[in-house]
Amino acid sequence: MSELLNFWTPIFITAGINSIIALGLYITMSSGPLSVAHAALAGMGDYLGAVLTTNFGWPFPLAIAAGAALGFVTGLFLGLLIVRMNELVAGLTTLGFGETMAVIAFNIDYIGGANAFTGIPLRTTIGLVYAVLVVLLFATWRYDHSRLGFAARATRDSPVTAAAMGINITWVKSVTFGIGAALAGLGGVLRAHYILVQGPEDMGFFVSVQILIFVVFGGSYTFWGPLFGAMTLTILPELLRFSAKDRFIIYGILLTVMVIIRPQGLITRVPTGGASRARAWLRRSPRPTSAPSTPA
Amino acid sequence: MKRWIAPLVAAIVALPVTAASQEKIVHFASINAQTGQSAPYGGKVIEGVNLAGKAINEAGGFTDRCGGKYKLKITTSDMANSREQAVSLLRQSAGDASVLAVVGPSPSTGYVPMVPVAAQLKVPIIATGSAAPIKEWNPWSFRINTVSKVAVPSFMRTLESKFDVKRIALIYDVTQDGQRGEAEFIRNAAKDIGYEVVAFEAFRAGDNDFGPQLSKIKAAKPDWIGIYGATPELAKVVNQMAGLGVKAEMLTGFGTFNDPVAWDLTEGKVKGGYSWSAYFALEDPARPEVGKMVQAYKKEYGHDPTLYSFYGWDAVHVYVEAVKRACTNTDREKFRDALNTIDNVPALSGKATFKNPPEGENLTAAVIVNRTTGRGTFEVVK
Repeated sequence: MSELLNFWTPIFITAGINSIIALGLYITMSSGPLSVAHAALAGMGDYLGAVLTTNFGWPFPLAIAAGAALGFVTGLFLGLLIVRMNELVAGLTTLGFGETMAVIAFNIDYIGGANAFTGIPLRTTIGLVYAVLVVLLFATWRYDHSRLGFAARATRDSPVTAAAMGINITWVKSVTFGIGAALAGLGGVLRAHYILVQGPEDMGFFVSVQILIFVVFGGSYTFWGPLFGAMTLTILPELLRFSAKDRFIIYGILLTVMVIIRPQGLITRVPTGGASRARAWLRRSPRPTSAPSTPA
Repeated sequence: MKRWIAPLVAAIVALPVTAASQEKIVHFASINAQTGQSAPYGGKVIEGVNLAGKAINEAGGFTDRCGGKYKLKITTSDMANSREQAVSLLRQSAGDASVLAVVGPSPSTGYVPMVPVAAQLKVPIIATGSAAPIKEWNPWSFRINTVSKVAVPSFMRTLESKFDVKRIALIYDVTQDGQRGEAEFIRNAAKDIGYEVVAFEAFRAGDNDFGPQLSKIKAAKPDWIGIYGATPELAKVVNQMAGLGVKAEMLTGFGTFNDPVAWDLTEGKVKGGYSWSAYFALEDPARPEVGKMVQAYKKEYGHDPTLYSFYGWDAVHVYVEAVKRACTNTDREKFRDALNTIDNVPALSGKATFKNPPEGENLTAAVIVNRTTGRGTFEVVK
């Protein structure tokens, strides 16, 4: 039993942290923008939280709050920047932002440059990660049912109609980007205090794409989607360890198949036609018929 | 008389069984990159580790200084060039009480984050190719391979004494911690050794245009240029140096000029460049153990070993030597202390000596200074 715990605890901690960052991207994407900057936003939280606890002796909760606050402010700024851009240009802008942050991190000796920032104390535990995740899931559920959540989805589905209905598109997009980035920053602080090292490559394009895959795979139309995506795609490679060299090939094939047969993600609010097909099937099935009553 | 025969036969039959049951198992966890961009290095380390384990077990195991007999068990895990996976796997190994120590990865992406975790979990770990500088060592972390910190002073002193080096320009890949670290070591050693660094220019992996950096370097009029990057970028720099008319002796680390790919990409312009490298040979008449390992490796895997295979092999043999001295297959602290008594122990890639604290570097790793003479060929300068 203890061996099993030893094996799975680190994996579940990583899966929990990935879920928090993926939830952040879900909130950002709920109003439409495609962000390829969430790895950089998480990385900024990572660096700030790590520097505060390691070099200045800040308490961990304050470092978490600082990481989230930095994420929020940066996300708000990014949201304002891309609000009038089309989806492609906005995505490229976030990509540029992420890569710029990585280059800056490479060149700041104070945070270790290419050699990474080390010496971070271990503060993150599995209990803390899942407590934070549960709170954030509840908050995201409330967000989904809030005025902001409805406004964000309306903005995503049809910005023109949403604006015509009186929704302030600029405000909705920038605030949702900010909240999503805050979650990424928070996740970053947790990650830094578990991995104990933060390097510039953690902020790059490929890490951002990995977070995006979590959301796309699980489904970006409900908060269960990113949770399911991050959990599944973090745990799956571990389950495939029986085939060390081929596990990422199997992983890639599974991912491709899933995207082909279910492009809207595994968990979705969008009607897939499954319910109506089920109803039609039930209608076709033979029903017991009662014998016509004969007049006495 | 007859009544003695049965117990006697039983005792004789039971003897090997008893001996076998007294044989202990030493469990090493091997964590390396089997997949991802570092797989070409990690895969070779794993082959070296597994071959060493097999060779030791097939020879009947080994005996420690207290008379205890041991056989090896090696379990391999793939860290896929990911920090998260490297740390998770180290935590999993440390949580397994049967694991005495970890044969760590070749990519620094894995080894650097593992160092503080090893101290936290009190599990010994040895790197097998990681070159990145370690900011804070701890008594649980070691490194078998040659690193810039050990090699650069020796390399630069050799060049200085032989060629009277005065003005050096350095151009390096800022995104590669090992390459950047090496350039920084050369810069920092300038005063001690007696040369001047006249330019210190950075680029990023994947860059194609090095004109601005090389123009600054040309204006600084160096007599030597240190080029620190992976082979593709190094080749581009060398080609563009020729195009811009930058003339100076070239130097680099890790034997990169001897890479046949560097020769091909530069159409031979790396000829005459100087570099340092660790010891590696497929045949060495002075060292029959090298040829023996190479033959066994070819038989097992169907291809030649590389320097990384040597590191894997050496890590296991150094660990076995420490078990022999510590007389334990479970006490990690005793084992770690025994590692610190390893002094000039012969290894395929040179010799091994550890004195940690302050640092876990191999203090007697081989450093060969060489000059590239052709495609994949070189002459030893020292």
